[in-house]
Amino acid sequence: MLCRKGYEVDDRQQIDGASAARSGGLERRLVYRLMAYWRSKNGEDSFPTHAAIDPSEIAEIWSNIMVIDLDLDENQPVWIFAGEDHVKELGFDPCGKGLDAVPENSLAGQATNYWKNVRDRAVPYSIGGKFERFDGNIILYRSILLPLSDDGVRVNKMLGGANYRILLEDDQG
Amino acid sequence: MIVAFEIQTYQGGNWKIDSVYDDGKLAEGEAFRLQQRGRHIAIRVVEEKYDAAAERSTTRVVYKWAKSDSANAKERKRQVSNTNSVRQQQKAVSAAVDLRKAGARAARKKKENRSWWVSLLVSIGGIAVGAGVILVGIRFLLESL
Repeated sequence: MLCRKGYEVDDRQQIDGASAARSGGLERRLVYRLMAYWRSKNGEDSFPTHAAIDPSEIAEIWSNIMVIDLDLDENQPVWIFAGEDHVKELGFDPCGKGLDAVPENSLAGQATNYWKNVRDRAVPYSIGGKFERFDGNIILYRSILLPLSDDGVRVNKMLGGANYRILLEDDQG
Repeated sequence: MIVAFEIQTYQGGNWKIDSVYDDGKLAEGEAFRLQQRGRHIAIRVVEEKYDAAAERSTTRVVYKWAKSDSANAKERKRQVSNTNSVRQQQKAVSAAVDLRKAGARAARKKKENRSWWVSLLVSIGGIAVGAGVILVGIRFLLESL
């Protein structure tokens, strides 16, 4: 289990996802950035391996990143990394726990609840939208899940990214 | 109504799903980025709408790009440019020909004018000589009578 080990990045390189999202456009930028990074690690007809993901190469979005493993538990994927923004939002580090340890009405929950689509079709998915979070705030979010494979063929891990902004009453009208 | 946007790339004679989005603008943006990478010969974004109540889905292509499109566009631009260039050259050639014809016409006219004067003088000279000969002949006849 890797959890935080090997995922350390220089804090100065990171930006706070929620505050950056408020500046506008970051939701799409995160998707484009992660997609471009994933493509850069992608073979002609194979998926990137988990080992190929280097936190220092995407340090500016690392706090928004998540990694889940499909092999550790046959019943559900297991968190093997959650970025600082997700840990802060949840109030705990889900690393080593199953996906169901994370409330569905959280950013991390919303950003991973379509993992079966990614596994079955073996292509990246980006989903966004609006939901009422566990703390009552209305959240506007954007997420992406990308397949990883240690043998290059079977999807056995997923790299994800998600950011959000809290919708104010003015926005909701 | 569920709406999804699939980026599809053309590979080995088939359209292959590259990625899926719930946001059309995001999908088109990513398709454009993919196109810039230049690895694919054709890329499209297909919108899929699924009406759960009617259990019916519809699809339509909302973005399409092919390497051949841009190659054809370049070729068309080149051809238009070539045609314009040829037309300009033709114009220049015909202008030069016209100029030359006008010059030749003027020279011919000048020549024609000159030859007309020469003919007139020759005619007048011929008439004068003829008249002189006749007068000498008449005088000769009158003197011999």
